[in-house]
Amino acid sequence: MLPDGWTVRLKPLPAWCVWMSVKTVSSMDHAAAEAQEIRWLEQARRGDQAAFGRLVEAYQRPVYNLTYRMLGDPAEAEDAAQETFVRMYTKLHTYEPGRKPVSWVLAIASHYCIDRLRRRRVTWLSLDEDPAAMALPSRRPGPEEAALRQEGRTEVQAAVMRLAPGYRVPLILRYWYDLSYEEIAETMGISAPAVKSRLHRARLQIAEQTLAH
Amino acid sequence: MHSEYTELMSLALDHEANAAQMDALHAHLRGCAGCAAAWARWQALDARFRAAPMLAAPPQLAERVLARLATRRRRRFWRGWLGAGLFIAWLAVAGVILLALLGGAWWGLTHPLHASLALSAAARLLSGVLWPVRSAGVMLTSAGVSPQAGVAAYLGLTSLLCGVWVWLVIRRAPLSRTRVTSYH
Repeated sequence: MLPDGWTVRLKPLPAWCVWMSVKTVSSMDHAAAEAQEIRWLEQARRGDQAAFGRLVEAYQRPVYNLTYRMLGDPAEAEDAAQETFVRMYTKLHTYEPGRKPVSWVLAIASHYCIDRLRRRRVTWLSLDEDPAAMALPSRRPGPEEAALRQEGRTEVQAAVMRLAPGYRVPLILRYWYDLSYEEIAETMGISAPAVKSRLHRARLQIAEQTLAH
Repeated sequence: MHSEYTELMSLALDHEANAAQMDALHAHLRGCAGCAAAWARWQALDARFRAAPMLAAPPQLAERVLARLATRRRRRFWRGWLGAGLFIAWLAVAGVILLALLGGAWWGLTHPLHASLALSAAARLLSGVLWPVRSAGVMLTSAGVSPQAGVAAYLGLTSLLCGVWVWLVIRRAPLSRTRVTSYH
């Protein structure tokens, strides 16, 4: 039960914003929350550590969710989330006013995860293997894994992990952040038609893999 | 399954298909059993993805981020001091050498006899100190290595060692990893 005066708006706000509205801003609408984040960004650029701390608290969930969905391992996802925020801090001067702050942060996180996946130098697993089962620890499940199992969502993460990194990002940004094609394009630094094409191919691959299983 | 219609399915799932595209898709689905089955499968997958939760961040993630930043700042601070210290040391050494040269030149001009005696003594001392080098040179020459090649090898090795030293000093130290919760 939420306290009186608290509202949860599932649409049209994206998931990260719904979480923020429940957690911190209650009646504050999306635009006001974004304006507040921009103020924190400006303050952080001027060296205000407390403002940067507030930004980290505001974005830790969307950033961690993205790094986990991209990397599939809780410890690696946390390390990547930490590194994302460190990079965000060092790149504060590159933030362009007018851009959605969350889109800017997610761009840093997704680029870092893609770099990290490239550095792994792994051979992509064949479709017969179950990457989620390999990525998720099995002996002592962590909270993420427990939540995923509880809700029967492991197949979703497994499907994401079977995609190439370039296809994972648009799919994750579309489903968990409800970003438009243009916003995904801006985040990834590609064109909107390329986003459309990648989402189509990602869905094709997932559907084929589901059939194969 | 027709690829032009799977593209429309993807657009439809993202609510990016216009009315004409939706009409075309539904008209096609009525007559194509393969695409109709695929559409049902895609809708089911879409529903599963939309129902997947946004994961909560691990506890104290924000604190650990700030700790990592603090560590990074400390490292930068000390690296800055190390760089500044090396530069000051280099300046001091260069200054002492310059002063010695200038002082020696002035003293030599004002006391030519003493200066020539001192230079002679210094040459003898240097000759005594450098006998291992001279001996090595003789050995190398007798082994067929030209003096130029020896000097080049010496300079090359020295440059390599200096390069390694500079790299060790200025290379970007990896950020310390703050504790990461592992569920393994």
